Amino acid sequence: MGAIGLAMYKYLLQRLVQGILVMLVVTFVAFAIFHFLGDPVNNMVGESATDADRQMVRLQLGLDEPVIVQYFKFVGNILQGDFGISYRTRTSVIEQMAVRLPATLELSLVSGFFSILFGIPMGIYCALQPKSWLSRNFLVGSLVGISIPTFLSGLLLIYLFSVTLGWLPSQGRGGLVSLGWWDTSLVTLKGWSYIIMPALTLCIYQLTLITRMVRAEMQEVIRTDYIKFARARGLSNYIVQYRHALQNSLVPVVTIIGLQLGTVVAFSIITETVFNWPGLGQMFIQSIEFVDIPVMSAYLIFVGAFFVILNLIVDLVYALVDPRLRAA
Amino acid sequence: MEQTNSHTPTAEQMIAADNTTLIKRIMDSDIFYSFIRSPLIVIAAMLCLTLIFSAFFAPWLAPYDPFDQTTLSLWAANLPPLSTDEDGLFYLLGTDNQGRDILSAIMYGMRTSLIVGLAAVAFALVLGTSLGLVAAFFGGWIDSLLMRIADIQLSFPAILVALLIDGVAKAVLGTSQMESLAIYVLILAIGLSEWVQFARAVRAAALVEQRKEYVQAARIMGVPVPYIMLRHILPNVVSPILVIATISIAVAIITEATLSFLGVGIPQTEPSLGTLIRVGGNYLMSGEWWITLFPGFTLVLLVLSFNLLGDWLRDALNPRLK
Repeated sequence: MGAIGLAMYKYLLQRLVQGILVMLVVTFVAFAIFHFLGDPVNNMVGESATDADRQMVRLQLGLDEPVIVQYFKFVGNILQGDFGISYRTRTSVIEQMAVRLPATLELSLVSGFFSILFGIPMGIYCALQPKSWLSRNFLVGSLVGISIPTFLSGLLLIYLFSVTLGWLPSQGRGGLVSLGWWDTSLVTLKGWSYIIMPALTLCIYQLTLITRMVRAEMQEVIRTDYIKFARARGLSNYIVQYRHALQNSLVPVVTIIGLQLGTVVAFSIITETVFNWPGLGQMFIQSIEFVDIPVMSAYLIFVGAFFVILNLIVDLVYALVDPRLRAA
Repeated sequence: MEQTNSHTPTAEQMIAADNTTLIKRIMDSDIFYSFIRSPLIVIAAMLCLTLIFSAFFAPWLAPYDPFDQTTLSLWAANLPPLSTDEDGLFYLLGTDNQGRDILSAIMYGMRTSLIVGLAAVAFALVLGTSLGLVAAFFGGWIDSLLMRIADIQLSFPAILVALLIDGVAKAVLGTSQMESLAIYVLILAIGLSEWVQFARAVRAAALVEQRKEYVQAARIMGVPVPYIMLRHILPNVVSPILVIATISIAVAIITEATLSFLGVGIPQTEPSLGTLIRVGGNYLMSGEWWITLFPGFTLVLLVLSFNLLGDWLRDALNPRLK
């Protein structure tokens, strides 16, 4: 522990303060959306309510208090897990999110797994064999992959595997097994048949990104002096490429993959719409369609918190890896 | 008079001479050389120009008017590609569920997609470049404030920011008003989700430029600050702007298509490529693939050509790779 120096604590503290600042901004935006868009009272009581009813709801919601007090109450409620009541379904927003969270998380994790499984070997191959026919195809393919919108690759997969071949179901989530409050689709074959297409769709963008990044990092490392020196020492090709070059090029790649997990959550909005996947993204799109403001702001806060936490983890990993922060 | 003319060139001659040197300068430039040398890029540029041309001249080039309700007939609905209807009208790419010619719908749809994409990038470019210049030139708290905002926004994916702005606009305007203003809201939303890239790149390049002696000299001479920023610094930071703009157009077109696909973008009355794909997607399950996949392929070609050009431009303008 002695190796962890003051500089690192200072750095992490700085990052933590920045993360809290970001969360304050995000919650304020969410609060502003909730507070200034439409009249929350009208949305809660419906058309036929009397003025007395309205006044009562107004007092209940604390809308008579100063804005700044309301904001801190809003944050206080969120910290206790209270995101309010959905205008559309009249149910608690946090319960609605708890039901949908496993669907989105499983989809994101499976797709992340796919993109790492294929992306890293493809990137290594492209870096080691830059002139080969396969590498060129991988690279052109990755540019095509970036140019195909997520929803279109989803539709293509549906057309191929559901309509033409009839192998896989195209809509929803099935074969679920309940583990307490977590419904998983990863333990049955039927569950996998539902998750595989959405996960592939979601992973294409990440896959191209990871391939290109591993390739770029590795090409950079191969050119450095210590690799040349390792070769000069007569180490075997295998040791030089996989022990020295790969390990050193993976550090930035791993951090970027961590940060990209957040993007996966954002892109899952699109995938969930295409495949009718009952996750958080679908909930968010429905909330925009019906102007269901509590759900909108809750999703915003969820995504904000997710990003901030991911960023903090990445910073922590950096701090542990970077010797300049470890010493001093 | 005749004699003096032969010695001192007229204005026209000077312009003509200037033109030839301009063309010559372009022909001699490294960029033109690298352009001609890469066949893939020449193809991408030609494809890009063809698509833009056919989109903007859609009213004259399209075989049918897809928005003319009188010419639509349900008898000609859901025809597969290369088919002819009872009146002997030919449909190269088939028709949709309302008997609309897919090829014409694609051309008109691409026009909407391109207008939104180009306008959004123009907006992001102007906003991002000016904020980047201001941040670099004034520094201090303005700089830190702008860059913190940029950091926060950059930690969220553009599509999410655009979705949120769209959702907020919908709540402010109401559904009926939103319908007529959708295209402007979309341009605003996509533009606001992309300005950060421009601001960061311009700020970084401007910070380097303004330490150079010519800027210092201009300052000492008392040249007004806006003039220094626009006439001295801006021309020297054009190349990063150009690269980002090209790639941003691809991103903006995809973002627009995605929002329209999700049903929060362009309404069905004036469909963009994304709207066409969304509507066609409903018929995919019954096997009518051409309604959704042809607009989809067009979208991919359009985006791919911009991506290829942007990729090439980044390498061609990078002095380190020369």
